[in-house]
Amino acid sequence: MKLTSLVLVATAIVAVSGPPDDIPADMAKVEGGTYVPMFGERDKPRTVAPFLLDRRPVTNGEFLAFVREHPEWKRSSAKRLFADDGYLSHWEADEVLGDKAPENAPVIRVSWFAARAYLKACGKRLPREDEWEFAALADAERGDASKDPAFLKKILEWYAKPTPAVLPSVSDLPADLRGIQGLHGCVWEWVEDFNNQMVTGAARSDSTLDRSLFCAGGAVSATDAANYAAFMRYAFRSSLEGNYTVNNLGFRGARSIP
Amino acid sequence: MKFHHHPLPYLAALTLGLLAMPGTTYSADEEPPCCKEKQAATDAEGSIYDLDAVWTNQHGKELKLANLKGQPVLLTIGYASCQFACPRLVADLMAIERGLTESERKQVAIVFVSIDPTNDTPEKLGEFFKQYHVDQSRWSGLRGDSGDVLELSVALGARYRKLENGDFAHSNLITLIDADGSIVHRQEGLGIAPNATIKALRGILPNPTDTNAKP
Repeated sequence: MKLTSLVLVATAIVAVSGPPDDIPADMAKVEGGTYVPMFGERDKPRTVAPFLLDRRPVTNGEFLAFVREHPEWKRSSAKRLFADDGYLSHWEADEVLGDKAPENAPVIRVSWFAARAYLKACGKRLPREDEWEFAALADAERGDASKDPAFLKKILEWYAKPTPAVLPSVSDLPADLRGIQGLHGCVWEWVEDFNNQMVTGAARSDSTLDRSLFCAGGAVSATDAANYAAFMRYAFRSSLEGNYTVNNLGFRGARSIP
Repeated sequence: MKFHHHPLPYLAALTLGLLAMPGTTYSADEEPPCCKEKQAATDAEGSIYDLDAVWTNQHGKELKLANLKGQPVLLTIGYASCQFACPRLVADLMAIERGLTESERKQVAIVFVSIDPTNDTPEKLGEFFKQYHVDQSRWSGLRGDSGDVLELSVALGARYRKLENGDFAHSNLITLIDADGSIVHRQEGLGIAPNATIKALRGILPNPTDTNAKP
């Protein structure tokens, strides 16, 4: 079983080619493939269809332009059910970025609802968890670097570091082999289906409970115990609600390929 | 029970319901100050009725959730082919209903939102309701775009995932929202005693005279 999974992951080929004309310059094509996620009924590989992903996370400057067009998403207008009190709280004012929010740095402290509204306005959507995780297997040379302890160690080292008070420009973020920048190493990112883990509330609240996620021995039952970094991402996502804003959580857009 | 054979258009039923409840609708001028304050708070907090997705109910009628405004609503997510949890969720909703007097019951709408819009056609949701003999004049089985289902679920704090075998894992959550769409109570789990939800519901009934009359 384990061996089969490994072989399937290894054969998840990522084709890289020059961007055809129909791919916008700010996006990169992620060829589909299969991968084995960490949890749930996740001993089976999952298929990811080809899709487009933004090369960079959405920036403060881009989000400001959106807020100007859509005043209902101003810091002072957004409703609490859809964006909590921390929403854009590092901006100087409703329409002023200020020193803590450089124009070209990734926007953070945005809720899932706000991220979705932004992307809807530009004809994109949030990447699904499978899509994001599949794309994030890559490093600068390989489509799937997740079996390389050095790759995982680097991600974990980043997770261990506190978030800097002022984030760097998105153009300075490390690129993977597709030219997608900053999937690792700067901010965490929203995914469309962040609420797909049944871990809320008491055990009796949910039909299926992924106890494996939080019990002490859980990591052992995870598909790939070595990938503690992915474990942390699943755990983080399952702690979120749609109106939460977090000081190291941003987002980027995706698009299906028809 | 009559409604099973006489599919009264949903909104007509709703309108009749409102007519039967004098005092639940105010014009802006008549609105007492307390309600204006509450309205301002609701505006800042946001409400389920800010979600403007269009749904189709089991009678094939299109509606927005905001069409339910003006009465308490019990909302839950599930899917019709669910073998285990959803029948019990429906039973839990019916247990809440049974704990109400008839006049209280008439003031509450019940909404079951399908997380499986691919399979849950209006017909299928209607059959699902018939199986349990629920009063379809007050129960709505809603089918919507999968993105809208996700959005509503996230707003309710409900979680779900489609499993490889076509089933869904999902939160067992009954949410009570008030006349303005604010979440006032959550019942989490299966087979939960309905008392707390009934109490919360009685607190927000538009016309609670019936309970007051009781000793």
